[in-house]
Amino acid sequence: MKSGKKLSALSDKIVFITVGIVILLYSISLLIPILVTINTSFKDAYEYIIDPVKISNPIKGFSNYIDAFKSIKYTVVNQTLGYEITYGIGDMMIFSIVIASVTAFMNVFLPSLTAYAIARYDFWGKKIIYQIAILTMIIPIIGNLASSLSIRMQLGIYDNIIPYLLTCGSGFGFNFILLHGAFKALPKEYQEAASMDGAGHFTIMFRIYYPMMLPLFFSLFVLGFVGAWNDYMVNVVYLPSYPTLAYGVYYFQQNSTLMGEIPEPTKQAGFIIMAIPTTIIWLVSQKFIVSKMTVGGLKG
Amino acid sequence: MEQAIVKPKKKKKKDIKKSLFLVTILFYPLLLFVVFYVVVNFNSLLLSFQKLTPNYKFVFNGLENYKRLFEDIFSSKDSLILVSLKNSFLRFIIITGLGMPLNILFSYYVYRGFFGSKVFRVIVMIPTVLSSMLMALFTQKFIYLLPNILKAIGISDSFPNLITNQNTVFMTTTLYSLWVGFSMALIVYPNQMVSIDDEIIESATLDGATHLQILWHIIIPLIVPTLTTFMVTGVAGILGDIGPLYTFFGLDASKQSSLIGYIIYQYTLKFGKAQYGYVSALGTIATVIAFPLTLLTKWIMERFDPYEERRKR
Repeated sequence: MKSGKKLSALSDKIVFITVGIVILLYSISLLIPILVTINTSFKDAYEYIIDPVKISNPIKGFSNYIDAFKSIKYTVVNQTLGYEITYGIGDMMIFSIVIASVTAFMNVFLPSLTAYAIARYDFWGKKIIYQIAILTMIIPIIGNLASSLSIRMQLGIYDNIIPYLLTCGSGFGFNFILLHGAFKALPKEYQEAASMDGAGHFTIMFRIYYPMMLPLFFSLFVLGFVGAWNDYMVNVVYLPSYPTLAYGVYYFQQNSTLMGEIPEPTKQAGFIIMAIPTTIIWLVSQKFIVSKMTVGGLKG
Repeated sequence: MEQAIVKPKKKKKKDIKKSLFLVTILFYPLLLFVVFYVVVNFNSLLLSFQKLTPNYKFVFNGLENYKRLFEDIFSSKDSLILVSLKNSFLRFIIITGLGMPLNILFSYYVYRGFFGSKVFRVIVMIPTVLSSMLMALFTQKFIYLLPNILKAIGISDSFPNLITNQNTVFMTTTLYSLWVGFSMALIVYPNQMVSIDDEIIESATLDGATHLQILWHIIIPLIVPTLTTFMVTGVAGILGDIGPLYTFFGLDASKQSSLIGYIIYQYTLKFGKAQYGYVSALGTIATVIAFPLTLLTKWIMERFDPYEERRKR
């Protein structure tokens, strides 16, 4: 990253001081809703009704967090088990970890297989597969949700966690483009030397080239994990019986609104509780994501 | 002679091993692609010509779904589909028209390390850190409280609720998406800018180029492939985008805020199999509109790329 340089030209001064002010105001605007929610989360119900804006006492309002922790539940008839089950925050955490980990793994491992084959080998159909990979990214397919649900129901994998996890990946997508470029850049000499020593194709792949790619694999895994951790639409559409924390937040908000039993400050304490694991995950993963994110072109 | 016979046998064995290897590693990814892309999309086209019978079977229905769709579109100027179509395009124009220049300026600010850029780079990640659901909920609660806040500080006694007011809900949800949408660009663009050769920038600076001139004549031309990717994927997603509507309103968003992508989710999840045919017809028409637009965008962006020919070599 470049070190700051003096803004000597008048045009530069006007533009970039304005940009700096806009950035400052934008940064403050991002923090305000969070601070307002934290403030509300420490009020009692009566105080919130009388004066929702007043600064609250964190010590007095801490019981809202305990109430919220106990209230964050999700009751559903599990389609796989066939009976009603109530999930708590611990269950949602487990589902989040499992779904996010497997989804991230599948979305790195599967494209790595197609990318390796196309980048390192010449075979009939290679160009066709590569063009398909590019076309799937360019052609916008809209409105296939109904068909996707219909196919999954017919295959018996709708609202069924293990089949969902086994089929949640794809051999193409952005990860394929990144991995294809990276595999192509690796030297061929390793492959030739290993082959002369009698190594088979799987040995060359898993013991020579894959270890070289571990930093990129890990970065993509972390990025996929964070994305899947925060994704609630998968649960809304495909896995309603397996609530993750992200879906639990939505259900907590909807459920407490419908039932009218949970006071607003307690609800907002629940949101802050849900924000803690996502913040920790992001802080831990930040170093791996930021430096690896580059986006090239869609050539094909 | 024997050697000549051995060599072809050895080569054949090698070829078989290579073929077996390729089939093994490509089988599962390609199977998933065939089932969950090819079959799903083909089935979507078939569904658009089908309807659900009272005994829950799908039967061929001719063009009835498309007829119903066009009747709904042209029934009035204010029809749900027409309003949603207009909203989808308007949303893209606002977010891209305002967002792309701001993304580039913010990214250059961060790339050059101007005052506060390190802190800014952390704060701008908040919408990504907290998840779209939580960020939308925090914002929703704040917007509900905004009239009280403005009243408390003496600015306004009767500020409307921007989300529940039908005159402001579309702009509120659109500007919300713009407001939370900077974080990804601020990861990608500065990384692209950093990969530009330092010598080019230094040489331009020595020649007296201002920051704006460096940005316009050097940085932007060299990051055109990244801009192209964002533009092409943005255009491709115009009619599939559901925005923050599900988070703010569940399946009950009003017509004024509706988008084509949201209608597809709403009808599929709220009304179930009875609407699968209609929704698939809507999706097919949306794809027919979006596909040429996406290709046109790609072509235009590649025409604007000053280094297009050099990159192809």
